[in-house]
Amino acid sequence: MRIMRPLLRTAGAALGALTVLCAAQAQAENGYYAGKDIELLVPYAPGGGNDTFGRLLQTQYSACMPEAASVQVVNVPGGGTVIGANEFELMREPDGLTVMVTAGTTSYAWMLGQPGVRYSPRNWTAILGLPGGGVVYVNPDTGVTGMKDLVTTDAELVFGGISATGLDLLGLLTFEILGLDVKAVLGYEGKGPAQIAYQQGEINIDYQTTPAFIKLVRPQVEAGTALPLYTAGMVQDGELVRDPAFPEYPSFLEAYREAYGKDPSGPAWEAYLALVSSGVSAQRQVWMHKDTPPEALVAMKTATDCVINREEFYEKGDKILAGYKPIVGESLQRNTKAMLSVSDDVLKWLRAHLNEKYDLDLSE
Amino acid sequence: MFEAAVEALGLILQIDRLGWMLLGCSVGLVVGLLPGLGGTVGMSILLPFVFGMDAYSGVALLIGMAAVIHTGDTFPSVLIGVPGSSGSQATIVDGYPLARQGKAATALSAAFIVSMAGGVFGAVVLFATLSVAQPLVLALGSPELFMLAIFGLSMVGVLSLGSPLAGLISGLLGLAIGTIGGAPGVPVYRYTFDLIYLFDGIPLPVLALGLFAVPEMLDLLAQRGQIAHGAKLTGSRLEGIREALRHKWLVLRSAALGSALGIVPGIGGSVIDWIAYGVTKQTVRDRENFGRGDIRGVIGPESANNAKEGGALVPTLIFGIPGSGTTAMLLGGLVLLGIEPGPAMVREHLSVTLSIVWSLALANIFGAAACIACAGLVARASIVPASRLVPFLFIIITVAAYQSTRHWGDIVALLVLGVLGWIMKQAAWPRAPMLIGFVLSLVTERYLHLSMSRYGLEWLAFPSVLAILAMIVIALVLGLAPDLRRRRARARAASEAQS
Repeated sequence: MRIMRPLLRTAGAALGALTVLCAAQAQAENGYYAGKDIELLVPYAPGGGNDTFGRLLQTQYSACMPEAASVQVVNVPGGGTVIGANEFELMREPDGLTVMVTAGTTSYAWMLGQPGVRYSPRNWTAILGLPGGGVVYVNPDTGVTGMKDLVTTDAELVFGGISATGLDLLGLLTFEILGLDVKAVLGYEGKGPAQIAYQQGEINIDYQTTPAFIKLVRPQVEAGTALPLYTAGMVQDGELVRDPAFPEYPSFLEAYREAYGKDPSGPAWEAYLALVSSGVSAQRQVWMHKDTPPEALVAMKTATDCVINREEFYEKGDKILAGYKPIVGESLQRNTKAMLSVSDDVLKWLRAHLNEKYDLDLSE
Repeated sequence: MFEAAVEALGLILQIDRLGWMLLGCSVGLVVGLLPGLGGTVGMSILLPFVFGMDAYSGVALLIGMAAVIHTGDTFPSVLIGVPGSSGSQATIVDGYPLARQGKAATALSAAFIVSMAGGVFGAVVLFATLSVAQPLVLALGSPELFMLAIFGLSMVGVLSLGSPLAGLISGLLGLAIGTIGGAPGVPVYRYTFDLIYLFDGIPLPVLALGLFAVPEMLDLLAQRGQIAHGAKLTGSRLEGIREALRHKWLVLRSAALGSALGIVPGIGGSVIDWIAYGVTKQTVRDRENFGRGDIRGVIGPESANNAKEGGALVPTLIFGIPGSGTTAMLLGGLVLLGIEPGPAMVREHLSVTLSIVWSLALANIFGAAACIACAGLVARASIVPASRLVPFLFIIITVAAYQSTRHWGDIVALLVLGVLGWIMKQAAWPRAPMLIGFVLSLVTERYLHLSMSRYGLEWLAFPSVLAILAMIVIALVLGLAPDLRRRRARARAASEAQS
């Protein structure tokens, strides 16, 4: 026993030193997230564009937050993102350990008051936004060669989409503002199948988001079987400007001017601007709960700055970023504010319009 | 093209890439083997690892997994009458009775051999159609897709012989259950009773496990004893291989059917095995033994469900449009690897595309070989006493069902559907029609709605629509006539005996 005692003492001292060392280590790496697991909640099934974006963020946040134990993507699909967003709002603690990655659909569902929505982006704060965008194009078979033709043509225009409440609403609203008589065929499984329907001749006017346009439609533009008309545009300081991914195409505002020689106005135009602010200028958004501890918010924002300054983020993500620059800080806050402060009159008009035109009964 | 194919083979045969493929195969076999888990689960296990991998290795890993799901999932379907994944229910109908007769090893090895043949056939179809499939897929508009869904639904007629009314009701019930949740095209939710769980409808694995797995296990427990009557194993692997060779034309026919249906986007891989089963039953002679352990009832669907993977990759790769849940996730995986499937895929990524073809073929061969090697051993599971097997299985299928959405609603739905399945089994009501109705419900509704809102009633007179209609009528006549004739003969005999 007597021999054992010094041995034990040494071991004890060593253990003590180790503990102190570890504590010092933790202190050095410090921060709110030291040793914690961060979950990126993606309200889509694995495999889609938003999931790919989530997985890109996962690798980049992992690299920027070495103190965190892990950064994981968690897919909570269903109900057109409503199920995942509800889970984020109702079941995840505002402890900064869950961060949600959404796309325009989630904001639109809330704005339009879709059934099942139990969340409100008013309770969240955005830490990263990524613009998206899209192009409206028409089949030259219709005889349309430009905007002037489009608004006077006798040809039957048929649009194909998923539903009148998702991103298709943007394209449909532009037709409304232009006063076009377009037959809307809705219910396609996705915009990919709708593009196939375009190639089949089932539909002849379509709206595709930027990555899909580049991948699927651009070869058809080159072959002369698709004619780009205008982009949805971006809202910058209240003005609709050209889409940075397509500087060669006019924005919807320019296209309208070309057709009618004046600026658009009225509730449809205001609703359109609101939808572009919330679903295009920051199409993908990364959210945290508003009442997250401040030190967590600061740590996450610092990490986000680190992410968007990494070369690897742009190298690995060139397809999903499609040339758009992520937005953070002031301009992101301005953007979310524009989305959250859409006037009730505009929303009321939108719901009434959807009800009248597409027979949709949306709650107030 | 052939030169490029040889070059791609060289790229795939490098030792590290082969290693990734074997790893993918192992994951695929295990996931397939576990009841209720299928390709989507396998993909969610592997996807987090592919980001940043070299494209060929990543492709080998993902395709290696996806290719062998329907090889491995045969084990539970045959041995315990529980679907290994959503695409292997039809195998149960004849495979499970064979296991109960002690011939598990025969059924399994026959299934593996034809799975391999079907899978390789699918890879050949993929290779052959990559450059010519575009016009084919473009020929299928909404009205044609609607008619193909109706073709799938017409299988209900063949699968409910003997009890046509019960089969019809079962199929209609399936269609009704399929309408639960969001409607296509509008944010309207049906039969959800404000339960958020029901917004997306009942997940397919939960329905499949509820209808087929739960009743089987309840009965096993009630009967006590083992799956194989008398706990004797009589079949052999060699016999299974011989059976497969004897029915080589059936294997080929089913593989062609499976890969052709796989190419059609939106029809859903989960009914192809049933369609193959129905067609097998319609087109062979001496069909009295079907449902009681006819090896051809195993060979047809098993060949088709591996072959369909090659077909399903055609729209995935050349349009970037997935034909099933697994290919949807594969699409995401390819994007993570920096490959963007689409019309330019074959031109821009020729060697990657061809390495997908090779991975598919090689993985099918590896997977089948591994399964045959294990078949004799695993077949012994059918002589394990039920009281020991069932609790273990019950945990697995509960976990598998819970994997669908990770919501407690999965468990409740499993129990409710399990009771429904058990009642149907006791009453000898066919359950396959319900599953077919369920899977095709949304597709049928979607394409009917699209056809009507685009063309009004005009589409009913399209030549392509009429052609598919003729095909459906012929298939139904071929399938139902012999049984009607037999029934009439029996009735005549009865009336003659009376007089």
